[in-house]
Amino acid sequence: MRRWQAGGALWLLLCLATPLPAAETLTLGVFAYRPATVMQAHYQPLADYLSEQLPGAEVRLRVLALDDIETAIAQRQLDLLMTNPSHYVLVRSRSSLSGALATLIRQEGAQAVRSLGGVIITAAQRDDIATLADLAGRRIGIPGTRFLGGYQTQAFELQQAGLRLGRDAETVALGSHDRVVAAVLAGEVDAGFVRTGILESLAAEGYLDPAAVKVINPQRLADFPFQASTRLYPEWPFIALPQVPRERVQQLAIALFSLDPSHPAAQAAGLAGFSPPLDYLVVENLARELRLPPFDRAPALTWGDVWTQYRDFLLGLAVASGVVILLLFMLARRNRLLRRQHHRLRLLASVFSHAQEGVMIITPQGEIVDVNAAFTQITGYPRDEAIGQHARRLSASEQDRDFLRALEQRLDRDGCWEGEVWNRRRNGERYPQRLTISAVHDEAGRLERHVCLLSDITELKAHQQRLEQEAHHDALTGLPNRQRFSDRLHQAIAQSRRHGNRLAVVFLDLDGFKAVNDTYGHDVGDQLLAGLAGRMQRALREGDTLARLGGDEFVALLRDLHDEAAGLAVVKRLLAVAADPIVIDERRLQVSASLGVAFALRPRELDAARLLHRADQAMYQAKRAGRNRFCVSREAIMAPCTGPSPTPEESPLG
Amino acid sequence: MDRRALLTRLLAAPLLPLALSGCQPDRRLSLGIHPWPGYEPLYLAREFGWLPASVRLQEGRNASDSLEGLRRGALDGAALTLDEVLSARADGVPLTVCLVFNDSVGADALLVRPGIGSLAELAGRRLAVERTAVGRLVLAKVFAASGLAPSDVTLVDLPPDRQLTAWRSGGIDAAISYEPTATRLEREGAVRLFDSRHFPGLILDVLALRRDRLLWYDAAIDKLIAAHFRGLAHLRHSREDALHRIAAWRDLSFAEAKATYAGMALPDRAGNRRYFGPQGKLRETARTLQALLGTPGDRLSTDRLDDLASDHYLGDA
Repeated sequence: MRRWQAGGALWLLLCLATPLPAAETLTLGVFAYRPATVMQAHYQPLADYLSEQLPGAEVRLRVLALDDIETAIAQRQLDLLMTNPSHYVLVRSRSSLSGALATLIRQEGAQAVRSLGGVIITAAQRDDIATLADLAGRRIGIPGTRFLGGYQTQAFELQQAGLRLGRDAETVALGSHDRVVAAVLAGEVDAGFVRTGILESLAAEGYLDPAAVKVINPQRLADFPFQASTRLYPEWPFIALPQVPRERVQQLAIALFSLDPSHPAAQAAGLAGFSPPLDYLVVENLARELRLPPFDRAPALTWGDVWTQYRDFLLGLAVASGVVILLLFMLARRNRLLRRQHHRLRLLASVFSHAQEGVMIITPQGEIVDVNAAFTQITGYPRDEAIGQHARRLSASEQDRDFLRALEQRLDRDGCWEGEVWNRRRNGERYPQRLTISAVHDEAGRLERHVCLLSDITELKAHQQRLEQEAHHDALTGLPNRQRFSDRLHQAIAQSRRHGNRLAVVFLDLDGFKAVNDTYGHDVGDQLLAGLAGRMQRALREGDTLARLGGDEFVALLRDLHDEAAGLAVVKRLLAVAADPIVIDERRLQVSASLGVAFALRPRELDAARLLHRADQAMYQAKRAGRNRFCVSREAIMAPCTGPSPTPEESPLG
Repeated sequence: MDRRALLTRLLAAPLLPLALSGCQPDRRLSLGIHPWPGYEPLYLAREFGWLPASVRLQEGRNASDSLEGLRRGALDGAALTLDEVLSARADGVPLTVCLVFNDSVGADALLVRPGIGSLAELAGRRLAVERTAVGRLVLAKVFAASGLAPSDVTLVDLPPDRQLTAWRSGGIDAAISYEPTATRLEREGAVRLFDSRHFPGLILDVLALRRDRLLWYDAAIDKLIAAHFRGLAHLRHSREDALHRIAAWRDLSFAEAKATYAGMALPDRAGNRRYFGPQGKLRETARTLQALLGTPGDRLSTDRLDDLASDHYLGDA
């Protein structure tokens, strides 16, 4: 429906546009590439020829600048157009022109030319400019950037050679081809761009000595009458605008194609006639390549185009990027690992510096590499003094060679050694030390360092001793307890059996102790016991043992007795010291003791239980006999008591 | 691009810096070529710098030079006629056709001295012919059309580039030739009596490459063929420019250069695809040529035409 309307409107328009055939005027616009008067003179005969050939129409010539042509077309003031090919491509894109009706053929001497190109010239004496590449950085005179043969063809050729005008060389717009040639000759510019044929016409007109200029990048072209520096493009098109009726277009085509080179119209314009239109696609491609209007916007580049053009490069880039990403990933992983290790090292370092245990790191040769604060605290050697020293110099060197050799062997075999050694501090004090030595190997398995952990176990040792003391000694008096006494007794018996030594067991029970306890309290009683224990201990010989069995009961073991008399001498001393007064809390207290003695003078009497029993019996006997005395048990019979000792007074509460 | 090509490129990509550094040995594709209008797009491509650096055109004077180079192994491929390809295959050069340059429809011709009005009048004359398959092919067609036997004429083995001198010195009365020599002979007064228009579709000029070296030059071949089509587009769209250049190279006038193309069709990428495939004209023509040129049982006749052609490098439709 709409199409029908549009068609109708067009029809109406055509009817209105051609009311009277005789009065029809067709306006032929021609691009003024040379001065308007020259153009008028050249092309008026052609307009007249067309007027003649077209029945009932008059063709009027208008010589216009490029911009004016565009305005005139927009205002529908032109019916026919002759302009340069790149301008045609531009105008066509803006106003939906039909295709070219014909391509003009220029006459050059005997030759007809349907193509045009560009010429790059420089003054003949310019030895420094010989190739396209030499144009880099030069000043180049051009008629104007909208000239196909005067700028665009050369720009394209230079672009193909890798030179971009404006970026790599400066262009100076001079307005016309003639001025470009003049500027080149005058040395105002280094080189110039003109259209093909210009040099030859100027030479023919006598304005130019052909030897004064040289052509850069000359092209080898057969049957082309002009020098050229670029590839060739189709000559000017003759265009009928869309509003020209079809019949008129046919008449125009006939008129154009039948124009004879000898016709005055052809002669005036320098034409050999018109040919069927050439392919102007190549001009369009040139405009596209140079980003000239209407292709001055960057083409929409599809990924496909990019892929096609840069396939190898992109693949290379992708692989390279892949490698880089992989390396970055590996680097990140390595960094994370390093950070973790760094953290761990810091932790280890803080353990090293804050550890309660002394740490000493030594080389396999024994040189100290590092020590921590605890080491200094334990050994007394400051870090500065320790580092570089030989580890042996810091040790007490009390360990004998065999020990050290065993230690080394063990280290070699197991990689570690653990034990207790005695060392000497800087101040000379000996102290027990717990020592752990570990071998540290490098990645290749070579021994690198020894790490020694050392701790001062003086306190531990003391504590151990205390525990041992408590287990075998009476807490109040510090004397061995029943258990320890039993061990000693068995030891002594074993020794006596082997060596034939004599020994005696003495049971001792204090007389009147209960009364002291009841009268003065347990504290005083305890002090009394402790005091008496000390005295009695001192009354014994070296090697003898006094033990507390509990309460006020004691037992003594007398060893290595020469004879009975030697034993009895000790017994008497015991009896005496037990009865000596003792001052406690400014009170003078006195108790006595009853002692039972059992001698083992013969091997058969060496029986612990039996000895104890006999001593016990003898002690009771002494008690019964009146206390503060001793009785000696005889093997056969329980002795008739009292024995040879002086009988002390019974004075429990002296 | 198929997977093989992709893999080749992927493998080559890490070696790219190596290739750029130029320390590779010369691994350029060597292509035998000689003047023939159908091959001009490649010459145009070379003129405008469109040929990839990985391709070297080894310019010979005629097809025999290219065939000789192929047999010696000096060339990786050549621009040849299809019958020459079949002969080379029979000689053990494993050629595969990757592109059709042109279909001769009049470009191969028999040219005779004025006065020889018919083929039958060739009897007793000295006839120059290149001892190539295409020479034999045209000769066979001439004998078939004239009814003459080989013994009726004196055959002079002369490649086209030497025929002009022989013609001028009067050493030959007729010549089986091809462009551009045919046009030059005509300029010397020779008359075109018989040409490939009489047997269309039989003389195909093709790009034949050694199958055993295709893999080496995968990327180079892609670019070579792209360059050919770019040259062909220039010949089509910038016809005037192209013909002015070709005329200059071949020592012809513009009009003569233009005339040489009257006798041939140059298929573009789309047109090329029609020649390939099981139903394509390449295979059909090859069978015809086998029947015409081979003797039963010889290697040319027994060629099963496996791998005769590959449209791999023509790209997708």
